[in-house]
Amino acid sequence: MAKTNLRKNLEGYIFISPWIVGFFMFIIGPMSYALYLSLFEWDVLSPPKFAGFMNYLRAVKHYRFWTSFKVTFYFVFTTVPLRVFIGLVLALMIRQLIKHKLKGTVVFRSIFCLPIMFSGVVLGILWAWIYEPEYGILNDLLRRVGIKGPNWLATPGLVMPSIIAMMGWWIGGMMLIFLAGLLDIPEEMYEVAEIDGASWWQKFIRITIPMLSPTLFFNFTATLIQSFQIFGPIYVLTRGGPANLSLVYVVNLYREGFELFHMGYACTLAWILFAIVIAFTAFLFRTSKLWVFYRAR
Amino acid sequence: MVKKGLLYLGLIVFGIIFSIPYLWMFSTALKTAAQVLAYPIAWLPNPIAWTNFSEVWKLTSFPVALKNSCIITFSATLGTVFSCYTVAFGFARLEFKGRDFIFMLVLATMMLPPQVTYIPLYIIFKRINWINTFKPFYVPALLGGGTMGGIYIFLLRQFLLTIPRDLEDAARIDGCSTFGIYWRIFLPLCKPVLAAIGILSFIFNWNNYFGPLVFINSNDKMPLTLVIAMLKDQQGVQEYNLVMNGALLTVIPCVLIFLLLQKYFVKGIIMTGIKG
Repeated sequence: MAKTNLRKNLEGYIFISPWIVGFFMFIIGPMSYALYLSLFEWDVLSPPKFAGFMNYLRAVKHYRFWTSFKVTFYFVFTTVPLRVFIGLVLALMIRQLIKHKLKGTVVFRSIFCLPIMFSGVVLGILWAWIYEPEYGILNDLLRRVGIKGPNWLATPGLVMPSIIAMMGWWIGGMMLIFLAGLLDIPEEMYEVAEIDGASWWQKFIRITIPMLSPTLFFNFTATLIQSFQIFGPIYVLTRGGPANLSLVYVVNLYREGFELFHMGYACTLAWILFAIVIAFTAFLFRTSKLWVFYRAR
Repeated sequence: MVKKGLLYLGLIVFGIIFSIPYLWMFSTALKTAAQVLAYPIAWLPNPIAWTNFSEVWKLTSFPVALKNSCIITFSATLGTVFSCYTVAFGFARLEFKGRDFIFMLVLATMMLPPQVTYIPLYIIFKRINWINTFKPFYVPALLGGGTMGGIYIFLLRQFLLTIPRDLEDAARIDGCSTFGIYWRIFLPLCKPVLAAIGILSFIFNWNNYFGPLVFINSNDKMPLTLVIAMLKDQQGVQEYNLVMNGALLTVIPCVLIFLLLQKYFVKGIIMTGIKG
């Protein structure tokens, strides 16, 4: 008894209907509403006032917008390469353990992955304590070698590096993905190279990196998108201070919407963020053709 | 031989550097208030202040927050797993018009910053009285997995595609309906993938901060993430032992899950990264 097309279509749509409903209710709906609201000034208490593109102009003129822009770009373009690098290095080391059947894989993997079990809040709380000038462990270690450690989170030039260092600790997920990608590389390729007398550097550049490029691409893109949206750790750690020096984009967005009640303006900021993320993602996908190498299926 | 030694040396050095933060957290969590301010800094708590746990318990009305975290996490996770499986089954095993286009939309949602939707959602939810309830968490989960749904649906679909059609055909010959195939044949086959997604979803929801921050505003409905953040703000440096203790308590479930179910968790993370 063959199914009619209508019956097939109906069945299919019934199964995916939860997603479709969710898509309209929680994605399309709110995003359209946000776009609409971005044309208004609204403080929730009084009725919204139409403002046309004033909010967008305001964003361009507002110093906090540009500050948050700068800070976010600084954050994204330092933490993403840093985290990719650290994740890759650690994954390479653990792969060596696995390849040579050495002991300690689970232990070391656990040590490096444990931090990602912590919420962003706990991450911020813990590192606030580590960076504590008087009683934190970092300055204590420095004191023991005779250096007087500064107030890391209150010194203008040190706030962002401190935050960046904290993010360098949060790399468990990245490492696991790299590890899986590395273990996927066929052993024969390395053996052939060794027969031809390749050095470890040549093996790395000619085999590992190209074969790993899809994974690299994924990690880079995913972390980039995630980093633009960073909120929890920084909000808890510094609230965006001192003097807006660690004011990442979403902290500013949150402040404008939920602390200052500039709802229309916050919607503007949200859409600008969306546009930026889309632009970067599109850019990464376009340029990926140049350097990402997919094995023939 | 030398290489092996160097490798272990490197791993141990990194291992120590990485361990210091949580060892420090653990140590502070068990210190007395006096020891927190000890100078020079005491690395090991002495005496061990086990009472910190009960103090934090009372100070933060921990049981209430714990209950809230559990409600949010379990309802959202169950909703996500069930909903993502259903939707993925549709994409993987059924044919219908527009299927591939809609699936591309699903993938596209992976790039959406959730914050873009949270401001209007707050306003909308306020109108329908969903603020300060748990509905903003489990309803989106039931309807496609919420913000992380795209990834899970993608993973499940990839996995479901690998199951041979013969199995399905044999079942249909025996008179099995589509629903029967979905519920009784494919579902048991997906258990490991569903477990991995369940774990990832659990961790995401347990650690969710921005969501509760926006949608919950009364103390009795706050989950652990909000309560811990408040604790940090309220306590001075001298009470940081309690703050660390509280933080330690909140991470225990996820840490336990990782240590005990590492296999599934690793599998889950790997599946998000490897090209299917």
